[in-house]
Amino acid sequence: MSNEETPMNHPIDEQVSAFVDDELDAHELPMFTAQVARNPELRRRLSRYALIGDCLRGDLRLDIPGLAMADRVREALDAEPAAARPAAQAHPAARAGSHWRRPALGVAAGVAIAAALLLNLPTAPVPQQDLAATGPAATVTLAAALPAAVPAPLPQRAARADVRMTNYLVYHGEYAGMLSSRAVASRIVDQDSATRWVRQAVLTDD
Amino acid sequence: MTSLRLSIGACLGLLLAAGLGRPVALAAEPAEWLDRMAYAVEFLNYEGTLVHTHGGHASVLRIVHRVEDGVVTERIASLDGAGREIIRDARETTCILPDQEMVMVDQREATGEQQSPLRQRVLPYAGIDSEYYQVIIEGPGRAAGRRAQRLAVVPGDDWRYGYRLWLDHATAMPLKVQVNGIDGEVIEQLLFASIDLPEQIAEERVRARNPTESFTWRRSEAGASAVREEELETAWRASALPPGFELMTVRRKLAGAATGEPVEQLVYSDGLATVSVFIDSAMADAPEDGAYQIGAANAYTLRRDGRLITAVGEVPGVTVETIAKSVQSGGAAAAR
Repeated sequence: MSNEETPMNHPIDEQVSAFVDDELDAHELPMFTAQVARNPELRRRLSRYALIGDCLRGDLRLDIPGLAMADRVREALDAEPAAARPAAQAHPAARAGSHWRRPALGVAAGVAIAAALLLNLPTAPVPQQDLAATGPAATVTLAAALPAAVPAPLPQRAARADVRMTNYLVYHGEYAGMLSSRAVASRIVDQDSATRWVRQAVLTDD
Repeated sequence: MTSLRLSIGACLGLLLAAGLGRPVALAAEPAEWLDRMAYAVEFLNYEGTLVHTHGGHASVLRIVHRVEDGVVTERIASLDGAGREIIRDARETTCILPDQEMVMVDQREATGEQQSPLRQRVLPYAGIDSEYYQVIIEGPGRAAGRRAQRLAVVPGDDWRYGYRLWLDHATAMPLKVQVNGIDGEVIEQLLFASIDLPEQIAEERVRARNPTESFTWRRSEAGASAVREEELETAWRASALPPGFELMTVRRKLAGAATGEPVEQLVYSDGLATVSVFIDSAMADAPEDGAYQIGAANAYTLRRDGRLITAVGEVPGVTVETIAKSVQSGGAAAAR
C-alpha cells in the first residue's frame, strides 16, 4: 500500500487534523467524537496532532535545559515540503477537496516519538503503518532534528497517582473556580490522566 | 475587591446592534459575558462531549447537566478506560472509581442550598479582582461548529494562570477553554466536540451507570465545613500567601481515601483560581515530598509534624509550593 493510498486512515486523519484546528464541520463532530471515544488508537492520534500543533504554534513550553526541542521540531518542519506539514499550518482551503494528501501523520509520529523521548512521557506505541506513512525525506529530516545523543532522563519521573490524590481532587473540585471545575472533573474520571501526575523538579529554594 | 468595567465590548456591541437596527440583546461587556457564562454552566440543560487535551494527552468525556425545577444534577463520565463517573446533585458529589472499586462521596453544606456558599462567591464575575486579572473581549470566533465570542482573562503576575474562552454567542456556554501558562503558552484545553441544549433532559440520563454495591465507600460528613471562627485559632493554615489569595473556608472531617481517617481542607482563592491545602494524618503509601503536575493542575506535598501537607490547584507550581511550604499549625505559629 502506497503512502497516499491509505483509504482507511486518510479521511479520519483529516478529521483529526481538522478537529485540532477547530475546522471540523459541525455535522461531522458527533460521529467523529463517537469514533474517538471508541478507538484508543484514534485518541493517540488526536494526542499526537494536538502535540504537533502546539509545537508548531510555539505553545508547548519545554523547559529542557540546553535543548530547545520545539525549535528543533519547527526547524525540521520548515525543512519539509509544504505538502508534508500537518494541518496546523495548512490553510482551511486545503480541506476543500476530500483528498487530503499531506503525509502529516508520519511527521506527527516522529514528533511524538521525539517528544516522548525528551519529555519522558509514557510512550504510546506508534503503529508501524504510521511510520511507514512517513516519506523518506521527512524521516531523514526529523532524524537530523533529533539530538545526536538523547540527554539523560529529565529530573522528573512518572509518579503513580494513588487514590489519595484522586481523593484530594474530589474535594478540591467542589471549590474549583468556574474556569477550572470541568478540568478537575476530567482529571478525576480520566483514569489514564489520573495515573500521570508527574513529579517535577524543585521550583524554588527554601 | 474592585470589579472591572471595561467598555470596549460594550461599544462594539452597541455599534453592531445600531448598525443592524436591532435592540441590544447580547452581552457586550466582559462582565456580562462572564456572568452569563456562569449562569449557563450552572442553570442551562445541556449534554455534550468534551475533549480534554494537556501535555500531549487527550481524553474524551461525556457530560449531562440537568436542571429541573431549579435543581441541578450532573453526570460526568469518561468515555474510555475504567468508566469512572461523577454524579453531582444538590446534596453531594459522588465519584465512582470502578478501577479502585471505590466510591467517594463529598456531602455539601447541610443548608439545602443548591451550591456551597463559596461556589456562589467564586462563580460571579464580580469576584475577579482587576488587580490580578484583566478580562478582554477578543472578538468573534467559532468553536464546536458554533458562533462564539472570544475572551481573554490575562493574569497580572506569575502567581496565576490566564485563560482564553470561546463562549457560545447565543448562550455564553464555554465551548472551548484554554489555560495559558505564564509565557502565554497553552497548557490545557477543554473543547466541546458536540453539545446539545435541550429544554428538558430525562432523569435517567444523569443516573450512575456503575454497580457499586461491592465497592468501598468513603463519605465526608455533612457540615464538614462548619468550622467556627474560634476553631481557626488552632487550625492549620498557610502563613505566606501569594498576592490576592485569601482563606475562603476550612473543612474538617473529610474522609481520607487512604484509610478513612479524617482529612482537613483549607481553601484559598484569588476570586478565580483556587488552591486547596490538605492536612492528612495517614502517612502510609504517601507520595514523596515535592512537586507534581498534571495538565494545568499543580500539587506540592511535604511532611510536617507528622502530617502530610498537600497543596493542589490550577495555578503555577510556584504558587502551590509557596503555600504548602508555609503551612503550619496554629499552635506552632503562636509559639513563635
